Amino acid sequence: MLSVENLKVVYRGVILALDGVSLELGDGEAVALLGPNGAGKSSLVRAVAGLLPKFEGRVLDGHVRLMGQEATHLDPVRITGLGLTAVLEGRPLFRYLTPVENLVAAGHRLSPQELKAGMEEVFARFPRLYERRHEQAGYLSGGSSRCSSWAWPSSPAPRCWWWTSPPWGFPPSWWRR
Amino acid sequence: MADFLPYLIGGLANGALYGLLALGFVLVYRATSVVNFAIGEFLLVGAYLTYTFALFLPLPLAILAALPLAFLFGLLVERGFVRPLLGRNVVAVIMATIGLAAALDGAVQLIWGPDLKYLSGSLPNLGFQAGEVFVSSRAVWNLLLALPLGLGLLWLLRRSRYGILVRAISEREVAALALGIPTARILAGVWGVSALLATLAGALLAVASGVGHNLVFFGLKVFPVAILGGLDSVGGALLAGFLLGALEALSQRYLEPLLPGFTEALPFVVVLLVLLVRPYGLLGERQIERV
Ligand SMILES: Nc1ncnc2c1ncn2[C@@H]1O[C@H](COP(=O)(O)OP(=O)(O)O)[C@@H](O)[C@H]1O
Ligand SMILES: Nc1ncnc2c1ncn2[C@@H]1O[C@H](COP(=O)(O)OP(=O)(O)O)[C@@H](O)[C@H]1O
Ligand SMILES: [Mg+2]
Ligand SMILES: [Mg+2]
Repeated sequence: MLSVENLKVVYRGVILALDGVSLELGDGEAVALLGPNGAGKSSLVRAVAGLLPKFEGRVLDGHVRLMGQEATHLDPVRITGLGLTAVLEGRPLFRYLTPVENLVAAGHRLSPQELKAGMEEVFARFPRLYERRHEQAGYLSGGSSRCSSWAWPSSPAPRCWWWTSPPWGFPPSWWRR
Repeated sequence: MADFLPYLIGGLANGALYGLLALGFVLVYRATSVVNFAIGEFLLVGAYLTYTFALFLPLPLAILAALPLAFLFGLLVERGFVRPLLGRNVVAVIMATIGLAAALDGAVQLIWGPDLKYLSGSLPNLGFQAGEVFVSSRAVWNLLLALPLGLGLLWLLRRSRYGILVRAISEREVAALALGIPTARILAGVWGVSALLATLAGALLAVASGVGHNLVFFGLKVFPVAILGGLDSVGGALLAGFLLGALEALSQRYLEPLLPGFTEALPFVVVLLVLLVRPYGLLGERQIERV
């Protein structure tokens, strides 16, 4: 499903952040990358999601293949179209948008019917979020906002999830789900 | 007091144009964090486009024809000047818009010459007498076009899918990109809308007082208006436009005899007061802080 081959990433032309990283991820698999701060975990996510240009970085060498297609230098719009969703580190939501608006933004590719159905599903799963669906997300508790960032696929059938840092902030009730 | 209403109405008519211009300016600032110092030139170019179309079209059609062209002009500016510089130093982008302003000033003079021009044709006369007060056709047209357009855009920004995406991008562009939102296309659209609003304001100004380089000074009013409303508040911009228009007109009537020249300075005095009392403007939002 996702394969990374001998990937090299530099920032600003001189800072080598990844030097020959390879990784295979099959259907139904979950892979955790562990490493100390500065090891390059986030850089790998940015490279796979096509976000490096936003960080003054670029892929110097190597390949990324997604669902069997070459995806090394694709832009993020095309990459998410192939079914990969990157969940960035830090604040997981748009804080000035309400939960409903966050879901609309995340589901921007969906038809109105799909969006409505998806939203109902999310709110059925997270009743606390439903109660506060019209409040700015910046005022939600950390646990609630993390739930909702996880809750939503950005493409009709996301097949690949990718977290830049693990969802430790989830409340215990979430893990039971 | 007999003068109060006529002056107020004239002020609101001006304010409607301030509001339109500031709305586009703030929309661009919020979405791309670019302070567009060429906004006065957007208005100027729009006025001249209208003038040119009015040479061979009836005036209402000329305005309608200028609007899509202005939108295109906004897209081009975004493509050529802004996008290559986004993510750079804020000062670099600001300098680029100042340079753009100078270039546009020059281009306009080259193409249309330096002398004041008047539009051929006019808009249908909608002026009417309401009791004691005469409401001028200019006031009716300005309010009739600016209010629904401004409020409609606010509604779109609040409620429509496109508006939600604009707000998502303006909060955190990388996150929007990670979700696959086509940020480049949407931001270009925002610049287009800003140019379109400036052009409508320019056209309505041109109808009232002709087309010349001094229109740029009208454009400069956008800064006090935007700060008064709150730089990040699109609704505030519209409101502040009307407010400043009204204040200016009333100052012209009641303060000018006592303090000659004060009206010129009024917008900046208001801004100074606002910055002291409410640094985030009338409707600006305070940042959400989570510690
Ligand atoms: N935007 C950036 N500009 C320059 N260097 C960066 C940037 N982001 C990360 N780096 C560098 O790349 C290396 C890997 O960082 P990162 O991918 O953030 O590691 P991790 O996520 O594992 O903590 C570090 O040496 C870091 O200093
Ligand atoms: N600049 C600030 N703006 C808003 N709230 C703040 C600010 N600084 C601290 N707080 C709030 O004040 C409370 C006390 O914070 P602080 O004095 O920093 O605690 P400590 O130093 O014990 O961690 C916290 O609830 C924090 O959220
Ligand atoms: Mg990291
Ligand atoms: Mg402390």
